[in-house]
Amino acid sequence: MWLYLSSSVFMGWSLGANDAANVFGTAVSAQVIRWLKAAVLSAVFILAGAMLEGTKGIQTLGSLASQDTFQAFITMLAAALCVALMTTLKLPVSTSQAVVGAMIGVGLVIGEPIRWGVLRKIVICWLGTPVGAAVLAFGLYYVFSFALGRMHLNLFTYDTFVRRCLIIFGVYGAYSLGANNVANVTGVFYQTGTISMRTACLLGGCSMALGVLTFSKNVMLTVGQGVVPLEGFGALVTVVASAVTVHVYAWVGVPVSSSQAIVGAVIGVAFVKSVRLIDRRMLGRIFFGWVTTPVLTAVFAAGLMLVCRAGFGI
Amino acid sequence: MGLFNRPRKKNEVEVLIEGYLNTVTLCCDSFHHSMQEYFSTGLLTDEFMRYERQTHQFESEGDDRRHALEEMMYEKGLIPQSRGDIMALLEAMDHVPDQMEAVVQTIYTEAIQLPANYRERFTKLTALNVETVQKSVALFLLFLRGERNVRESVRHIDQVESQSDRLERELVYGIFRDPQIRDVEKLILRNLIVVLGRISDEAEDFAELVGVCAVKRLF
Repeated sequence: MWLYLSSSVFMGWSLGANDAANVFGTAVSAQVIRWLKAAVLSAVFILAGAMLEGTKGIQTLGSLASQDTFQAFITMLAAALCVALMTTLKLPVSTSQAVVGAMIGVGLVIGEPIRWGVLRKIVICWLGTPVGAAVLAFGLYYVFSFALGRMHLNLFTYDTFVRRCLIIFGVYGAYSLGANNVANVTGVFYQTGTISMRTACLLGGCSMALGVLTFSKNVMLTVGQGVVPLEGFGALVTVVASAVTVHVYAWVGVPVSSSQAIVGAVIGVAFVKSVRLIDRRMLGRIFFGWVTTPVLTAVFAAGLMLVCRAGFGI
Repeated sequence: MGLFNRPRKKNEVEVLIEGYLNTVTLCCDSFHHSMQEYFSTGLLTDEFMRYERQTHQFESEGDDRRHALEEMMYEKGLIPQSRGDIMALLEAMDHVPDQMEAVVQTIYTEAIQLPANYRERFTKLTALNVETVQKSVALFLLFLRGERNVRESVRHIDQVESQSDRLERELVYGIFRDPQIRDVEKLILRNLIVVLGRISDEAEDFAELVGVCAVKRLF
């Protein structure tokens, strides 16, 4: 069983290492908080999010298709390898889309019917993630601006306010990430009955936390600046908007991409300032990620399943 | 009482900036005294020399304070936007005491003899330039306090700088048409006028930068 679960742990580790940059990258790259503190806070709150609010997403993902433990292993292995490969090639990738794509790929090979109603709900949420984050960021920018504008803050008070909020909402973002994305790590194994819901939340949360603690430093330092190329206030709005968006989808029970949420939020802030500021390449990358990630992982998982069938007669 | 309206402990960077601005003010006072002394006698008196040394001293002290501030801003972890704005403003402000020092050193090294009939207008030109420095220091503090009337102060500095420009042109015009001044002295006096007028030019550049930084922070 633990051999099979190792693919989930690998996926969780990779997810934690990469996606923690979306919540704390801005604060770390801006030297608002040291990496170690950010990593510890992320790890603790990702685990808390997974344990307290991760169940809905796990149930949704588990209900997409029925698989046995070996098929679940192939699904997670294919998804994890695809995520690792696309990250190495610097292609935009979403673990949520990778896992769903792999489930469909394996499902098509074994002839297990896909529950299209569940898939429709998931795809609508994928589309709604960047759009929702953009709309929320747009609105929040005006609300925060109005509130801050009335306060007449001294430059240093304003600076302290932004720094503290970046940390507070970074913590909230980590909690949302854990609550939403734990389903990507162990949801597939939960539906096989290999592990209980409690174990799924704990194992998923711990493996993501491990990824943050062991491998997120460079990602936070380098990706953090690239994800949010905005001044302090704009960066704060994007972090809040993406954290709230990801958390809302945790309530809905659909795992979504935190990277796409933050990119959507950046676009929302850019809309406030000038439509011309919106990077068309960024929009292209989201669209490319939407299409390629599930398709590539579905093809890869189907191929892996076919090889295992031919080789081992499974 | 709101969360952000409470009397707060001053940030270390804020205390250092106030110290730096105090040094700029002292440098400006020394410069002004030295120029008043020079214009009242037309000679390089001991009193003028004392203020000239003081101007240089405060200018150097300002440089040291600015370097300490730059180091502290990285240690204290201000957000990049605030750090970038403050660094740019400090750099722009630093040109002002440099220029004041340049004026008194020009007078000293070139031993400039000022014709008595131009002293009054030179005094006025100096007063206008000193006013732009004082307004710039006040403007920096307004910006740090997040006050809304930054734009009015920027406009005021721009107006005083324009008055200074006009007076510079009138002075050069008058000097070059004055048959009692030798050609070589005309060139020396024109250089003094240009160097003196650059103080308000630098103050205006600083004020414009404050205006840009303030606009960036408008919600």
